[in-house]
Amino acid sequence: MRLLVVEDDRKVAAFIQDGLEQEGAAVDILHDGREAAAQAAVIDYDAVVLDLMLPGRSGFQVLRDIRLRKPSLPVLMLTARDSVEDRVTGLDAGADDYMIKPFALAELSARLRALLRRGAPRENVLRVADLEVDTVRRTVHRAGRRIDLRPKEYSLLEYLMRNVARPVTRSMIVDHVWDIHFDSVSNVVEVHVNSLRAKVDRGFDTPLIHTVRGVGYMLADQAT
Amino acid sequence: MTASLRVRLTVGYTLVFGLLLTLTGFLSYRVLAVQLDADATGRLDELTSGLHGYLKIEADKVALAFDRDDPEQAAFVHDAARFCQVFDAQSGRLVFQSDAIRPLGLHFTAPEVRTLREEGRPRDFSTPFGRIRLSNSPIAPPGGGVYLLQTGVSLDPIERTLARFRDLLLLGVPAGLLAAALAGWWMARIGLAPLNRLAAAARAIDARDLGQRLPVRGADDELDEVSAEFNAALGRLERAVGEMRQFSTALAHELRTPLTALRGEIEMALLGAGEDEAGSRRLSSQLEEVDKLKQLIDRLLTLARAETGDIPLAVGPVDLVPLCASLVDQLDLVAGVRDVTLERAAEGRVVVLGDAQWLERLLLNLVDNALKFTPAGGRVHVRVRREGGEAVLEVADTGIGIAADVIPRVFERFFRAAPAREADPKGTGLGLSLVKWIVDSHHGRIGVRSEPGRGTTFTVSLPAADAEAGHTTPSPPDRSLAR
Repeated sequence: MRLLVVEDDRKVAAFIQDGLEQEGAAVDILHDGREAAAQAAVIDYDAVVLDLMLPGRSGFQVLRDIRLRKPSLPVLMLTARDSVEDRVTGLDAGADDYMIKPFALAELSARLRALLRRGAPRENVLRVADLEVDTVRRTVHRAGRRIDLRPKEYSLLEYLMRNVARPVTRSMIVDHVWDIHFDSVSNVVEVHVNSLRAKVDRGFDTPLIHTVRGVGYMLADQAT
Repeated sequence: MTASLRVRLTVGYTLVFGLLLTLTGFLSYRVLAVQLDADATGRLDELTSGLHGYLKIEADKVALAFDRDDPEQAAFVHDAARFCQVFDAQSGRLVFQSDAIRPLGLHFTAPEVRTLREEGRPRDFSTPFGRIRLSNSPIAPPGGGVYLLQTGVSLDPIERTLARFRDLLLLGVPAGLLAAALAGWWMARIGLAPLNRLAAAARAIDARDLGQRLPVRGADDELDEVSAEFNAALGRLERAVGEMRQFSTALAHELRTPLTALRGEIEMALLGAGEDEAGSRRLSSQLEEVDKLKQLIDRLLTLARAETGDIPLAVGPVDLVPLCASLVDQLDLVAGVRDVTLERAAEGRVVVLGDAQWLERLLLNLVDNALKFTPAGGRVHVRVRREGGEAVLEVADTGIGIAADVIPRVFERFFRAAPAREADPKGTGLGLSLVKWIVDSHHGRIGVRSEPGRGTTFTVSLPAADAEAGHTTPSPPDRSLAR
């Protein structure tokens, strides 16, 4: 996976690079907007991470330039502004996704993976160790035993399964599992993860749902 | 007690007018009285001196000598001698009395006659038939002797005239006052009408629409001056709000970028910490703090934007019943973990015109608050109903309650009462400020009833829309978490 990150703040750029490279991606960094479109056109990137406020040329302009030459290159926009107009303008200008600073590295990489996976067929039956989720029937079995889940617990489990072995943050879970933005209020996510744990892991030798300190949760067949 | 400007203007105007009217009436009355009195005296002098010429007294015999063929003379003498009597000044004996004066019973003793003769001035007397003014003039006829001539004019006409004038004043002044009050009320209305229009125009302006200006009528009067000054103030406000918007955007950027770097570096450090348990714990605690800071910035900016009118509402018909049902279902598990019973009573269709996302946020914040401040074993009850033209949303809990003296402050930014601080140390004190903003921007009202230790009830009333209008609302299908 080769990525272009256009971000003027050097510290932010550096940690994005470090983080994504630790996940095995090759990351090029640009600190201003002037060369970005040209470089994106020449090198065969899988995706571009683009800051909105850039010296030289604004993120919106860079995005338009990229779209002129590579209409299907996935672009994820970063911004410190979150007013509705910016969001609308960003998506209208052709950004594929949008993240507001500050964000968790895990979330950035998950969103990038999601962008790259786009269009790929979704599996109907997901398996991790002896846990099996049938996404058509919405049924869950572990070691052949049927587990009854509430609708939200099921959605949470399916989301964790689709991101197997990768940490997901609370806000990612909220975005994908709930239709209400519980971003800041209530420990809705913790409560549901705990009740899911009680049903999926209790009574089995290997726990599958792990807490990733400082990030969120991860479903995996091994200890973190 | 304060009265409206219109009332005060009218009262003031009526008082001044009434004072002037009374004063004028009183003065006119005095002037008239004095003038009539002087007229009577003048007439009496005229009659007396005229009568002297026609009066002949010889040996106590009084006769009137005049040319009976001269109608003028005859009329004058008739008038002058109408009330007339003559006394012998030495003995006080009455020597002549006209027919008209006799019934009045004006008798004088000898000393009185002497005194009157010496005075020689007119005097007023009251009789059963009215008041009369008598002249007292001495006569010394060539035939010898000293006499006192009394000629009279009746004062009745004067008194009748004055009485009529008094009556006129007593009727006229109150009538004038009433007319003045009505005219004043009307004039105050005419005069204040532009002011009322100005007030209405000013009321229609809020932070979201500072481009509006008050109308200047071009009359170049005081009110236009007020409008112009107000418009100038609005202009300054508009600039200030504009700067505030830019400031909040800049602030968002300036705060979030270093926070991003900080968060990223902590995350990287955490990845590198590996088996160092204590280090990992410290780092993840730092991450929590960064996330709290981010949350705080988000909420502050949302509020700042909301108040400067930067957040457009996507208004459409929203049925509060499915909205409430879905939210309660999703929070059911959270309530269960806290051992709080979360119930809802929402039936039928309760439709309002509003922004579904913000209404959801409104309800979420209220229910979330209720859950936070309700101890285990308690209950939170959410009700949605229609009451007349209003949609009423009620969130009642059996929680720690709010002290009466801080209830008015719960919607203030960052305000957190001491018990709330203890029960929820992670709160920001911004949730209810946002609730208040959402209610305001939906033209609703919010009320709080609370009893410390017993519980709190928040009641939100929003203008209800026609129930049929809600058909377009996509009601979330099958989102219930049936136990």
